[in-house]
Amino acid sequence: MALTSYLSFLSPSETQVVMCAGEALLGIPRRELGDDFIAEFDRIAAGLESFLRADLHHLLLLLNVASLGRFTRMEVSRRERLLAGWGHSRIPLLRTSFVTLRSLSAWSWYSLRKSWPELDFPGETIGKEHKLPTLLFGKSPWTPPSPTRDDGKSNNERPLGEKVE
Amino acid sequence: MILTPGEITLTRWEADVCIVGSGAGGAIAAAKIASSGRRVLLLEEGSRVQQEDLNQDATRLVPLMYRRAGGLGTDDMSIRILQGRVLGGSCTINWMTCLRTPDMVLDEWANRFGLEEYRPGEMAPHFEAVEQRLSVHAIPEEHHNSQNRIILVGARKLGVQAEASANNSVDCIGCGTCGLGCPYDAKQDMRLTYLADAQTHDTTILTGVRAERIHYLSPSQHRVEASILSDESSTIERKLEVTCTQVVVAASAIGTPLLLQHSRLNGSSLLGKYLHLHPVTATAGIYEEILDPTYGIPQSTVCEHYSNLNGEGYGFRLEVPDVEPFLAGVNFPGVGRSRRDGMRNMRRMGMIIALLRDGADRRSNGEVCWRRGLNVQSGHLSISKVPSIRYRLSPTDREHLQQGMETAVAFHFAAGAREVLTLHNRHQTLTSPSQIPQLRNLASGPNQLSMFSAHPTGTARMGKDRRFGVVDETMQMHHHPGIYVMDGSVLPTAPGVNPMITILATVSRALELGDLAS
Repeated sequence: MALTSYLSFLSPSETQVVMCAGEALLGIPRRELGDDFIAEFDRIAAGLESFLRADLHHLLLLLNVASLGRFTRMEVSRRERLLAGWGHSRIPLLRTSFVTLRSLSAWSWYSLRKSWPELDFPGETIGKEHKLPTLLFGKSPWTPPSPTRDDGKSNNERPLGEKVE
Repeated sequence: MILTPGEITLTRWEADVCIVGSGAGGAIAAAKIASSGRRVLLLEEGSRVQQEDLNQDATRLVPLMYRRAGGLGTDDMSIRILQGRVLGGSCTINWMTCLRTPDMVLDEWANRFGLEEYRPGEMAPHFEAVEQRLSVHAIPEEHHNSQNRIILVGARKLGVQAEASANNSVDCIGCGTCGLGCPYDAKQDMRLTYLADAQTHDTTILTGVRAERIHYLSPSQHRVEASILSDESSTIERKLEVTCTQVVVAASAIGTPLLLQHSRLNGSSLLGKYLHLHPVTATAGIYEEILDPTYGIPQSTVCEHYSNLNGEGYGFRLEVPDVEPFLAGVNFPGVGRSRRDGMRNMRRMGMIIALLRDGADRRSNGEVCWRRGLNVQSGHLSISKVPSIRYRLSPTDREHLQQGMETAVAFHFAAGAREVLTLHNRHQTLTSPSQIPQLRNLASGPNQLSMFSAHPTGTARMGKDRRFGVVDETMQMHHHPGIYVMDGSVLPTAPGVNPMITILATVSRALELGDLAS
């Protein structure tokens, strides 16, 4: 099924704007951002209160208007300059727009598990307590409800008090 | 007894006291009032979460546990506000720092607001009691992670004092995901302490229920109109009504004034004003060695040396935050490829935040109220009442925050950082402490320097005289007897320290002074 058919906030044209803005703001090519970036952005936006959702639709419209409808066809470097210019603008509304777009884009991307390898971030501690630089004080790590363990074994099978590496 | 929306069958309830909100204020109020034998019904807008729900997955837990799904901020988004909307309130998602209200702050409350009952000597037993209930303890030296040691090393090299902080944990393993709720039940938050106490005294807690309006019928008769929300969303499914003799509003410094204004309980012109946020800006030091800031106990150290810059107790504290990929990502400066490359340094990154005690100029920096705004309802654009949070730093506060940022940068260099980033939009990388004065040349107004807050307080301030306070020393509303406010909104000034202990102890003191729990 096409991505846009199950989005609850973004329209198909807005999806393109968000993808292009995310690419410029985060420095991550569209093919790497992928559909799950859009899905996460949509999920976060859909969770906002209704008046903020209205503001966000206007913001995405503003981005298109400011670029005379060419935002999605611009070179990445031009998009980056346009958005950075908003961040440096004397007009408060443009700075608000820049900060909002960058925050939502970064929040959507860095929440996704696929963004973590390049940060060298191994993710959740649950199930990996003895392997990560955490402190352990003889407390038994609990068995998580989701399959986040990396070896398929029950956490309780590991000896307690094992030295943390 | 805790009932989630799907378990609530009754839509009309009766209680002696109806409490709105289950954060620090609402939780301790419920425990103490219920232990006096009164029937307490507590309404919590957020969801019930238990240990097995807290699986460290930000994509699920942030929308579930944070107000506005994590998107709360001032109207212009210049200050993002992290606030819990979950059983236990912000205490469920906070970073556990437990610091007592400084004596200077309590003395200021007595001197400026007539609150002699809150002098340090009167408050001491309340601090001790809440600290005991929450298992508060100083964090041992060997439990500081590398990131928190930056403050200790930086302070030593700069010749100032810094020390271990205190927190409310038992057998914390330092997983570093406090902001997503504690998956190990190490954090002794409200769910495990005062809300558990309240339940042993037959308090009923309804989660996923949002109080919409309080109908003030007489000083001893009130009706609370509420909505039952669908599980894990804010969609209204059914209405619910509570009839009670007293109401305790503990819906936070954002939610409380909005609820009271919507209920037309706005007899005091001060309601909603004097919002304090403890605005914070962060600095990121990049170090040669790997610090792994995502693990360890957040805010396990603190530098209070700069907390009294003006001789009246206003200044800043330096602390070390929880570093999650999404939090670091949202706050990291710059755009494009260089931003991506910077984020790749996350394991070598150490963050220091300067936490400002705002309000030095004694004027209202901000306000929470309803305004007319564009809204989308049922797919149609309309003008309607929308919540508004306005805030501006006063000149002295701005100067203190600037000094806080500069000091944090100096700490990084003293501790060995090879470069330091600030959160200016027009950012530059500092490579030497000699560049610190250049920070004054960068625009740092709204949305020019990233700021955030986790400590909104002060929109229904307490004062003995109704000219200076919305509530009296027992936290009862001056203009509306029978309605109490018991949360961070009653604090007459910003406390300067992470406010959980202040809220718990002041509510405890107010309950001792009044007759709600007698």
